[in-house]
Amino acid sequence: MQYDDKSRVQKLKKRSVVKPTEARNRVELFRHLPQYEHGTQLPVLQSKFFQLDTLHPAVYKVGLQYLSGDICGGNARCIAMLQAFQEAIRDYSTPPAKTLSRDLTAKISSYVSFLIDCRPLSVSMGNAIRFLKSQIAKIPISLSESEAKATLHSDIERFINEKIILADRVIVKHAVTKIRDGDVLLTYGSSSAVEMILQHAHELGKQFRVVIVDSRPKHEGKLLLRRLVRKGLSCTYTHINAISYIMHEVTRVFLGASSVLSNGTVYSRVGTACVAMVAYGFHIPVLVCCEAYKFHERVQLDSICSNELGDPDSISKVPGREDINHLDGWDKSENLQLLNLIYDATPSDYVSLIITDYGMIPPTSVPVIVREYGRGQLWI
Amino acid sequence: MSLSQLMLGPNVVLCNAASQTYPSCNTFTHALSFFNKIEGSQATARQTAELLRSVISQQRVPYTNQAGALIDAVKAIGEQLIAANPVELAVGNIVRRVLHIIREEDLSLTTAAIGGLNLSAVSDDENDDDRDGDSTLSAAAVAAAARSTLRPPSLQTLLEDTPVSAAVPQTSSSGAADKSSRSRKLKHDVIEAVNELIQDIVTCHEQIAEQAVEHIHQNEVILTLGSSRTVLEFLFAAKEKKRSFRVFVAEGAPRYQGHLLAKELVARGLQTTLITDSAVFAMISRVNMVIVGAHAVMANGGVIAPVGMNLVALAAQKHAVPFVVLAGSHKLCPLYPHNPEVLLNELRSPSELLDFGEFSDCMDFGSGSGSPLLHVVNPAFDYVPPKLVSLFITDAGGHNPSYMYRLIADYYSADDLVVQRRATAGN
Repeated sequence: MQYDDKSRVQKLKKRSVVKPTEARNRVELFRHLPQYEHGTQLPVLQSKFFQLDTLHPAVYKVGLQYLSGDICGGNARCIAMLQAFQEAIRDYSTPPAKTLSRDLTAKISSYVSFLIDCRPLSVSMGNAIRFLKSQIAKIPISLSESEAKATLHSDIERFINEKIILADRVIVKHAVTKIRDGDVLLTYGSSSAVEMILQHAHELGKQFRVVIVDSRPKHEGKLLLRRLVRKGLSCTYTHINAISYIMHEVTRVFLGASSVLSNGTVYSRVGTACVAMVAYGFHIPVLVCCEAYKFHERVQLDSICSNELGDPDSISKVPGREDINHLDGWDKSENLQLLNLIYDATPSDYVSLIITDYGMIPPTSVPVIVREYGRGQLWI
Repeated sequence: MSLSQLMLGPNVVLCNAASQTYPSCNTFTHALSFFNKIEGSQATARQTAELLRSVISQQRVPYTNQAGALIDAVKAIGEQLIAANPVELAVGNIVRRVLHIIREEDLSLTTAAIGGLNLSAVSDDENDDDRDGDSTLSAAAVAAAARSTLRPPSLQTLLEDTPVSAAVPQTSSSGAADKSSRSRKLKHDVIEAVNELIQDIVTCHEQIAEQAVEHIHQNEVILTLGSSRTVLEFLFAAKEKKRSFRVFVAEGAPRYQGHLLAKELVARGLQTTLITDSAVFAMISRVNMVIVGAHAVMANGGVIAPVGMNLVALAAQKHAVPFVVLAGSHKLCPLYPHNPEVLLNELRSPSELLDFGEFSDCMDFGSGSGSPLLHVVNPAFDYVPPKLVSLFITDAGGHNPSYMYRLIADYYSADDLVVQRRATAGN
């Protein structure tokens, strides 16, 4: 939805549970995106917990976890959402005059709009919701309610298992063939798929070094660093500005993705494009690890038309460095805006290979997978 | 060097050595303090120039070969200044500039002497003293001097022990008055020229900012990284001329100088957006021009800049956005960079990236070989190759990167590239 369309935004505000505060200091380029106003919502939502009977408590809990940032990462968010939906479906009972498929679909839609209010959906979540709705629509009328609920439960279970958990195992199996002894592997931020690959390769006994590149404001690389050092991998940690310095030693770059779009563009954490560009400039292969359920038929050319805006306050403050306080009171000056982008789009020419559960494909083959294995057949 | 000297650090050792060689050079002790506290190449350059000026004025020059004595004195101090902080290239630049000034002034005095000899027939009585002094110089000696100072460097001169322009031949018969006036004149000229140099260093920002209006038009979007005083003055100058433009400032981790720059720009009424360094590629497609400062400009047109600049330059090249570097002429270094990421770089403390307390458990030597599992890399500078730079704006105007080597011939002499006193048998 385009958020600079005033009439639609008005309608959305009326329906929503979360009352957005007015955004201050909007960046003009990003007026079509929902401005980050969620920081103030957490205490409000927590107080409303016992008053919201339209919302299932499991969904409410997941929404709060998204809002506070406890759950982040495409796979984790998707699994948490689907498990919450499983609970909601289990507790669901059809009202007397309605059919299960229509009413349940409407309920799921209301849950989804609540989750969107907490934090905009990721592509993985969007695809999972489409799957769920198509499964609900396919339920034959003849089935009783308990049987229908059981079918849906097992469908969701199968989706999580096949599309996420098993897919990750297949990706790891393919990817470790690309790691040789003596390699120096670079990764950016914290991707669940890449972490599994590195751990598995280490267990297989391959000798390699890892370079973890991190950036502000989330510093996700620190968590990955800690987990890898605990497992005994030899790691180098640096920040994104130092990439040109460290890239001389690197042999391969492994990146995760939030989604891969139909024109081959990799939509991933902001900064991935910078890493891929520098690696390409040094003639180092860039391998993107992405499960096939995250592919999307949308196309995107740059990082501005579609993105997510994060909390601007996390840029003005630097945790651990109290001397960097030049921007205290930034919202009072009308000339200053702080921009905290969450995603960016990496052009397909920087990517050498995409490792998916369907195999290792070049970026140009993504629309083929979306079309051949998309919709009906993907969910078998 | 004894162990105690080693522990005190190289600066103290050099100072001790210097004060023994130059007991009159008290100002050298200032060098200790300023290398630790002064930030920024402009301040360093200015301090170096002032220090060298005082060295020259205190230096007692012999009657013969004054230029050689001055050059030796400056080289001695310069060598130690450069060794104390090799990464701060502005120091070496200023030392070489001063050496070039000495050579040039000596050259112009010698050609004036030759000219005076030729014109001696038409001089009037007031110049009797000078004329007498000049006429005592034998024609042969003057011709030899002219040959030595004006001869361009050739293989023969390179293989000689003494540098050409310093080997001003000894004039056997000369009046005392002439000698002292000549030596006073040389020192006086040199000090005047060094004063001009200091003036240039101090006003470089204004001269660069004057060119701002030619490059910034209305409704531009400009991107910059970190903070540079030259860039600040440049943008202010354009704002003074009523150009309206927006600025994206990348914060420049881990020093976060972009926050400072953003604050100052906003105080002056410029529309500023602060972005993280990771968002540079995302935003650069909407940017018209990238304007940045530099730490040093090398002879091939390459730039030593704060870390992260290479990223911006690559992104700008990909999107065909002009990458403009602003640099005062004191930043122009006559050396060609070899492996600059390592040799001209400084690695800063890892605590800027990782909190030691938080990661103390990972710092233990984990694996069997005893080598630590965790390395942290925090370089301070980045090298931008000349092919990524569109334009250099210096206080002498705008130039292509391929032209920078030519500017070096204006400011530096070829003999001074290696600032070391050669220990020769004759000297």
